[in-house]
Amino acid sequence: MTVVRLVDVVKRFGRRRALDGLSLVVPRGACCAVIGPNGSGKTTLFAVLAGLLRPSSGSVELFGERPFDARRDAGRLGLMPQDAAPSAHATLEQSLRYYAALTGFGPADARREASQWLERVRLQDRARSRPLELSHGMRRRFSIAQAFLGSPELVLLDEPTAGLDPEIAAETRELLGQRRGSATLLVSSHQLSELEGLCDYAVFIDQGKLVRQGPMRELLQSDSRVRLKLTRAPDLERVRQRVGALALDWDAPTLDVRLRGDRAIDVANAELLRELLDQGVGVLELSTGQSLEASYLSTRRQS
Amino acid sequence: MSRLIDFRKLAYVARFELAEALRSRLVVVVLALYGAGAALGAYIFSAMLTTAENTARDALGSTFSAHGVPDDLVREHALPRAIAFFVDDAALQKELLDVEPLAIFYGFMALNLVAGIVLLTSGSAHANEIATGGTRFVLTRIDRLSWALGKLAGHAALLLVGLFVGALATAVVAWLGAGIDAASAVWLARASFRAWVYGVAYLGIFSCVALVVRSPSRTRSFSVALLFLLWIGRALCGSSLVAAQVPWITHLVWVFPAQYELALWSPRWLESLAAMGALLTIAAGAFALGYASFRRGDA
Repeated sequence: MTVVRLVDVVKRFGRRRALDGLSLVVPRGACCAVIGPNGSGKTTLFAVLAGLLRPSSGSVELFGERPFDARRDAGRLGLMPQDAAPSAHATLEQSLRYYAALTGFGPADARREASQWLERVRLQDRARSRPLELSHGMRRRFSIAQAFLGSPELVLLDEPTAGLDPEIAAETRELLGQRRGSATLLVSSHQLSELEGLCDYAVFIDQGKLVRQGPMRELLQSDSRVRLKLTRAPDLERVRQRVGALALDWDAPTLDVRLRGDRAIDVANAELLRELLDQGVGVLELSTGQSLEASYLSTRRQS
Repeated sequence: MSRLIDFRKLAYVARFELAEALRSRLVVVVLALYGAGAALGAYIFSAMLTTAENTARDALGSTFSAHGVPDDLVREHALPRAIAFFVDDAALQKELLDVEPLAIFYGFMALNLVAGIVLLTSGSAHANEIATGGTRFVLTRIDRLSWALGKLAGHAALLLVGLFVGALATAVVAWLGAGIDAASAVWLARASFRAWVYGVAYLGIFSCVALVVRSPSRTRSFSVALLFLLWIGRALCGSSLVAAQVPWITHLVWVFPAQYELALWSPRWLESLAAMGALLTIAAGAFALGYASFRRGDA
């Protein structure tokens, strides 16, 4: 079941194509990383999904139906925009209650929902502050709170941790982690290590086009790449005979051995580790796959 | 209609907009403009009228020293002439003569200044929210039509409050001076309501500009330009010189709000209701035009 389906979507701003025939699919319940360089179309993609920008051509489907319609789908989609200011004169609580009322909550429920989310993003003591009285980080947290009001099915988060201090960024990641599974999340960020830990699906876009998409495990090649850091150099000839047809690389200065190929993780468990132990070589560290950053950079180079 | 518009959410937006005006102290500016402006204007008008009466009494007093002159010489003789200069309609002239001159003054001022005040306080409301990105927080929760109409309704309510405060200030000044009778007080309330309907037509026009250009500074510039164009356009369409050259142009005069100014004052209900209907149609038409652009465009 897919929540988001875009087919050949083009969005033009004058002569520039912010989205240039973008097609992608996001499965329901996924936490999907949206990755791309500055100006690649991530923010435009979110605005198109939220119905704020009209695509010039192509088709957009949300929740297996038509494009997002605020009248029909109110409360099903939450958006944390990158640069947007709420009402300058209303307090955080007043704004959240207003948004909750527009989402469909009655007055008492709106008050409760607003209060709960202010607490979750640790802004309960600033409930009566106005946006101009807040730091950048606090405004970002407010923006996250309004996006999750009413527990929408799909939440679009445009650089949620940009400009946050490490402690608040970690709390934000934890919060997003808690929402994973209960909602489909689309998260754009330039912090790829953050997305690697948080998301289970990813799309790479560049110049408005899809470069690659798929489950995080596939993109990171978790099953087909294994790296072991050893205590000393092994007898490589014997190791190569043991692992068979798989590619084996040895990096002498770092004492790293890398195994690549189909089912590399199975071969590492069944053969490589056994051989190393037979040779009396210790394993200091074992990791699988490549980093999201390495995957992204290699994909970009190939494309 | 309720399929097109979510009236419950529209009311939330209108209420929030009005509350925002209160919180931003915009309402203070509006009330100061209407209230203090009306009070000051009424005071100056009263002072001028009294001075004119005294001058007339002094001048005539030297000639008719025996019995003096009636206090309301100016009101009985000069005022009808002044009203006849502005108003052709005999029934309207008669009604205006029964009203406290201060109330007429307020009605005249409210009607003539309301467009400028609407431009100042409410003209770029839609554009402001679009430009700051505030719409990104709300347009995933409410459809564009209900949101745009909600903001329009909020500012129409603000205008109504402002006009009634102005009328109240005028009534207080009149009461502190020569006093005010019930008929004049009712007339003040009616004048405020008529000025509101007239102001709503301009609110619709400025909202159209805001929804089309979606930038506060450009909205203000275009709206000022449009205000002048409407003034010049109406003068041209109503000109007999132009009509002689291009006869069909006289029909265009009905699209200008100022064309209904006098009819709004008419004591004949049908006529004033028709003028109100026409002004609200102009407001609705202009808003629909702006919304048509906003509906298709980016927010």
